[in-house]
Amino acid sequence: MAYIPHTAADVEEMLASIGAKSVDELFRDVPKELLLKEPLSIPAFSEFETERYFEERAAENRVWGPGRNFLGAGAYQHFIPSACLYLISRGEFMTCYTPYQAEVSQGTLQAIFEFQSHIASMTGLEVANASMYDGASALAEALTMAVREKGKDLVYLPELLHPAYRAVCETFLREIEVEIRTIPAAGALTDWNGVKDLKEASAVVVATPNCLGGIEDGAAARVLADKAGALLVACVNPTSLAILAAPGEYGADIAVGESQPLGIPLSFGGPYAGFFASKRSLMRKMPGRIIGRTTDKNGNEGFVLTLQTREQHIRREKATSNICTNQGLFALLATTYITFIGKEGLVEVAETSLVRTQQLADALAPLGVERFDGSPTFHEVVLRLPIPAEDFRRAMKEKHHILPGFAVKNWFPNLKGADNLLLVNCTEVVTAQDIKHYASAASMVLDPVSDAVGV
Amino acid sequence: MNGMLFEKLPLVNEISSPGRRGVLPPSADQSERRAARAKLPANLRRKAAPALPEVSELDAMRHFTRLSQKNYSIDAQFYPLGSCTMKYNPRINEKVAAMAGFARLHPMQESADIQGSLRIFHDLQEILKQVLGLGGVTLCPAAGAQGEFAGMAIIRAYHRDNNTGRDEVIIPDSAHGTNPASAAFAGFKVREVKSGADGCVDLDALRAAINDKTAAIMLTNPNTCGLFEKDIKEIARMIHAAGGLLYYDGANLNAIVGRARPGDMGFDVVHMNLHKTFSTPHGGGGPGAGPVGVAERLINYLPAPHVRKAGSKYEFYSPDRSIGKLLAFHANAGVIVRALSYAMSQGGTGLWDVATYATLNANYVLNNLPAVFERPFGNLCKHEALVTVRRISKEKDIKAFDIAKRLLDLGYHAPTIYFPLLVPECLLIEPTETESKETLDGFIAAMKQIATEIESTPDVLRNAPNELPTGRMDEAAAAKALNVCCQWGDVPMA
Repeated sequence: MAYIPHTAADVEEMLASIGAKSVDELFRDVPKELLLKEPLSIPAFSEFETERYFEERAAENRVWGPGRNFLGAGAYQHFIPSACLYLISRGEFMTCYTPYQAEVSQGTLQAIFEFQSHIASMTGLEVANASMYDGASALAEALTMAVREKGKDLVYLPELLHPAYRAVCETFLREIEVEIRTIPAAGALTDWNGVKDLKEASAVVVATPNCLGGIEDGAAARVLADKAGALLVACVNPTSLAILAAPGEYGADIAVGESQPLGIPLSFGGPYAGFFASKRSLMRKMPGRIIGRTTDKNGNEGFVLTLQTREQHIRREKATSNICTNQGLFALLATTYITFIGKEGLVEVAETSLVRTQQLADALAPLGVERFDGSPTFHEVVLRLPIPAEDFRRAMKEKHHILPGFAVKNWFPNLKGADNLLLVNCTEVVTAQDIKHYASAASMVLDPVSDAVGV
Repeated sequence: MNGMLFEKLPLVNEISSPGRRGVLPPSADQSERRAARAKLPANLRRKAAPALPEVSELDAMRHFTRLSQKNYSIDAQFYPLGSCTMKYNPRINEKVAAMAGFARLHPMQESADIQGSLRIFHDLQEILKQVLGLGGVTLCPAAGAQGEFAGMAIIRAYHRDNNTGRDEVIIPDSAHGTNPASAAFAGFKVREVKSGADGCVDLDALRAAINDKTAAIMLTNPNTCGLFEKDIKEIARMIHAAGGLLYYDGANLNAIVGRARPGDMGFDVVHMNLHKTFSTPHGGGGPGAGPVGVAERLINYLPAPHVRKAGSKYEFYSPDRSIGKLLAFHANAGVIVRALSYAMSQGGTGLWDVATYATLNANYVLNNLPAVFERPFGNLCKHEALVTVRRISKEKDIKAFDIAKRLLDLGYHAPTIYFPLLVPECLLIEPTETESKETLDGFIAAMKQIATEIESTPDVLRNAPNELPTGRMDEAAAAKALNVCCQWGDVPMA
């Protein structure tokens, strides 16, 4: 009876007031043959035993702390102020529902209004919603929104969009019969002039930094979108927006992305929170919840869910999305992160990530490790190793306890020389010392003679 | 209690001051940083700095702490929102989910290094298979609505593979709004059927709706009137005989969890909400998790990645006819950890009790409310009690909305109102099993007070809330002004 407060006397009194003889009688409307005769054979654990089971499972996972983890590929290890995780564990934030009753939900409403404000500021767009499931599903929803706006059953995705994001877009667009075409890559950047036989489309997507770390030229993407009569959808890393051109600056109509870098732990891929911003003119076609500022009957300022007539609980099959539950608590976590780290802090995080990534590439150059190409990058870069990337990765991990990056051939097996390409990420948690350590481990792995003697 | 709800709080930009710092991140030297940024091509650099907070750590802490105190929550208040299952969120679940072995695990790590988490996925899949009485369960969907989309995409793929040409989904008018929205997003046409006078599916209306285009029916059972669909076996027979499949919306699973199984009722595809039935926190809007269970013949369509056991190891794989990926990574993994912790704390016996006491509590409320709260469908319900003030709304001009707002004054979160749509001026009250008789008695007493106030001081209701720092909000003005972001100008980059 975990978490059930009823005493035998309570049950007796309650049944008497209902006029039932037993609790089983309350299930008399369920056909007898559908009722189980006895409880399912699932063992019950005490709190102590439960904790122990999870201690054991946690120990079966291998994790790499700051300075030893150079694996990014869509999820990034950042410093998280202690206050942030504390604040979202407060029961007042954690155990409330969607703020439909505005008068007793002002805390959540104001915090998420601030989230929307920060996202709008960072993306350089006018409006933002209260969050989506993750970056990939936010992108898929942006595409369906663009199709609603433009009416063309075609969208263009760059070849260098994160393959998992592309896969999610495929899942959602297949069912509403929207075709996906590809904008080809040239090296680590998208070839914005490379689309042959360009057709009118609902959306052109620019992903920047792209999945190989390259920083794309948003203005060139805008030109392509205009030629196709399409909306420009930017899929962006929020940390990068502290220093890289904002989607609003290069004329994007919609910007989406993953909030995970904003204070959300890696957590094996979730829960994270997608963000979604757009031009004001598109707001009525936006998916998801939106919080608006208003006044109460006494003229005091406050916040409510607004434009609910777009949503499924009112518009049903004509809704702008089927989303109901979103990732509110993790949007709140991102909001606390932005607040504690602050305006200047976010610039420091972004610049330091840029510095360390360049430093790592430079430190490995003497070992015969080259950059894949000379494209500008943010906090991830593709390196060409003298040996297969999988071999390098395994040796760095097993012999030197460093998670050195991601083998690019898992994504692009047909890319020339893919076997030796490694995608490496550095954020602000990597120190100059960590980079020296990585380089010295790499020198041993790449020089088997010295590695064998453990120099 | 109201003393905890502070007066109006400034927005964070109103307490920001240029140059003020909160928590300092690790940082490279300023000269190195500026040099690296200057090396980026000018057209790729940001021109205007985003307006973001500049506050001290303590000011930020107070800002969010005070904001939190403006919320009602399960931890502090009775929160009987119908169809939302606002049960206690046990803290052991939070403790285990925060373990470093889970929090620091990167989603792209290789199979050998994530065995602990894969086993957790697998163990929960196995438990949920038992709970649902179905052959396969995916944990991928991030929430109920994403589970619905996945389930409907599976049904669409099944009909596509079998060349049935079926593209219509039948949905009762009592269904959650997500059902028709998800069906539409999965490419189906929606055909709504009216419920009968008893609040359940009307078999004649259903018969008239079934045709050679019928791909599926989406049902919630118990339905959103809090009633068990008494004809469920006949419904299943009719739909299956016509070549369609049965989809179960598990939003109300708490009523029967561990005592009856959707698979036994004939459902082919089921989603469940771990943030409802399995006690994971609602978080002010999310995250949730919406696992989907399917009959054996549909396992091959489950989304990717799916977890299986191969020998003594666990692994991800993509089923042959998978509908594809729903999220960039695997699932809301942290929610899955919490849900397994809950399932283990309950076991089969505990889950049996969940359904039993959830139903007992709802019936206790249904049978003890004053007469102005009319029962449209008799005196027996499952996990939630549906009542209506239709008569009072006509006679006294007191709306369900007014009653909801007055309950806030009295220290209770309001029930769900105006849902289901088929019962006008309704309140849908779901107490859940974790509430004590004393709490329910307090709520019933508040409802009795309101019944008295309808006669004596109706304006107290019409003006409610009266006793909170925040008065009734003007939602129409919000939708007109559409002020959804604070306005503070951007400045050129330093």
